Amino acid sequence: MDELLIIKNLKTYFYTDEGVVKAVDDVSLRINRGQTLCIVGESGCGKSITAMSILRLIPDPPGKIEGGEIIFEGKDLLKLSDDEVREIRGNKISMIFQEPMTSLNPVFTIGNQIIEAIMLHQKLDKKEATKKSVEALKLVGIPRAEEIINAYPHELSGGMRQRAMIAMAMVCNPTLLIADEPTTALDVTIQAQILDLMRKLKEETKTSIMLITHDLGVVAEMAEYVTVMYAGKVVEEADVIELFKNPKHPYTLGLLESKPQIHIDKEKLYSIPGQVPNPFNLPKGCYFFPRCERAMEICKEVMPTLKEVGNGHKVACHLYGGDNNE
Amino acid sequence: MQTVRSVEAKIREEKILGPWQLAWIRLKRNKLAMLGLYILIFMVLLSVFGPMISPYNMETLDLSNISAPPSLSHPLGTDEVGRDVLTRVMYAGRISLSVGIVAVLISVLIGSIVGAISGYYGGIIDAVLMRIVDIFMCFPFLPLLLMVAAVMSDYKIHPNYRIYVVMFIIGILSWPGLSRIIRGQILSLREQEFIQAAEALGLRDRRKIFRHLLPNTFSSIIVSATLEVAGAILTESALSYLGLGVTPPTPSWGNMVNAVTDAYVFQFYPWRWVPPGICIFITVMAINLLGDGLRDALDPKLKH
Repeated sequence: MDELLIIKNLKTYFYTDEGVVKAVDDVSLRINRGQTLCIVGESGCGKSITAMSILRLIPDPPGKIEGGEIIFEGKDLLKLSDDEVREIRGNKISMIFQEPMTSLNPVFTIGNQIIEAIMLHQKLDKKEATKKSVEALKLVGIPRAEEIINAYPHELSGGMRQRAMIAMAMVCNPTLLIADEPTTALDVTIQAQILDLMRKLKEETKTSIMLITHDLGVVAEMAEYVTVMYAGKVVEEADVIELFKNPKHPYTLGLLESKPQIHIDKEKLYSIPGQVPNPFNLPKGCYFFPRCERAMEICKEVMPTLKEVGNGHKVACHLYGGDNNE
Repeated sequence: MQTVRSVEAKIREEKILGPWQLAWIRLKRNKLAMLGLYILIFMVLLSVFGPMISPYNMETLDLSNISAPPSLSHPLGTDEVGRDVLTRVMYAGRISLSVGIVAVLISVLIGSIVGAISGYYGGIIDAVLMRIVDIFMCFPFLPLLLMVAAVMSDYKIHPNYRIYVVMFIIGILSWPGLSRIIRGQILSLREQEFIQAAEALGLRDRRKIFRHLLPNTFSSIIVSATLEVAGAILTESALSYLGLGVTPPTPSWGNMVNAVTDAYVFQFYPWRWVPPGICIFITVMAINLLGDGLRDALDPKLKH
């Protein structure tokens, strides 16, 4: 299939007073055209930093992209000048953020902000841009779009704001939409609506989506391909059906286990024991080793690498090392 | 059905109010602030249009009618060379108000740009700019003005141009306070998600600072600018009183009050110094009332 974005060995580090945080450590992933990739993981595992690295939005200092390649439509984004990256931002790659409440500028109307996005990347005059932003608002299912365009963010509900954000992100027909936990701050019914909307837009515009989430329900609903991250590393990646049917890595198993299931009556929900490792003091071997129920001697010493275990399923765990597949 | 339709119509009629309209509604509820606003408008109208209506010119001498007490033809009497005090007070209002406003414009312009750049970029740029601010804050205001006034006198600068120098000096010396306020706000605003979102849209720094960050600080700029106008008018009066600001024959409220230094005038010709004094007092008070009202009206945390 046609590859849109390939990330190779991306390393994004943060240099703080207490030491170096390897927020993204040697992460590789790819998104094909028209595909939805989900990145799953706990808070602080580096999902958002990976996404922000793609658009080079890492605040520097303290952050720095230390290595790797981000190849988008055949060009390495990390080698482009600031101006060239700015051309891509919001135009070919756009981004939706977690908090619709604070992602819109409170002193401008919704229309102003969408028009700004249009006029920045397309040669349209203000009238055409206004027309186009009304269309964009209609596309994301906002009623009375002609009036809402003159509304200020504080007058809209969270769901409406997230719709407006999506309209703003989609208005320049990006080829890749990065959605950083777009539904986390919304309640469940609105969440379902927003996900439906994203799916619909994807079908209509053939945009690839990189969806960052910690909600496996969202993954099951949206993803075609899933990457599981833990402490800045990819621990498992597979096709969505393969991953849910046949999870390999103990961390993925734990995540799936800790999801409430409607037909199983459990006293208490499972939770993965222990905590995310301290980023300043990562274990020598597998980062998941201290919390792993199936840890072995080798896990303490050697960091497992990502290996293919069949069906395009890759996992970084010693349990599946070499040929002695369990 | 009827009610449904009327509710729908009502919803459609409900206008969307911008933050400025909301602030205006809140300001209108504040009686003291509105009083201040009305007084201010009155003073501005009086200074702008008064001299046009007045039958006298500010420099018309009438040596046959020196220091005349208030009468029908001279409602506030005349001064030591027979000029109409009311006309001069109105002219002086033009000078004093414009000195206040222009000085504050200069101060807002410099202060907001320096504050925004400093807060947005942080790091070395911030450190350098803030040290410059510190230096400006350490300037000894009066000695500096004494010096400039002396230089101006030495070069025989025409009194009409001296007011520009006064505006400039007050403006130049008052921006550091404002720039610190702006910097502090920008520091917290730039961490907000909408700035990240703006960056993800591909906006340039300049646009982010001046179109997205600064407008978010407008309310504090307006409040401190308003209060600063009052300060600037007082500073101008004080300087002119001391003979360092606007000098006669150009009238300003400050240099008109200067007549009071003469004990005889103080005792027997109160119409020569009381009116400009009252003008200074009520204008500054009106601006301060308005400024306080604006602070309340524009503060989003005070929604009652």
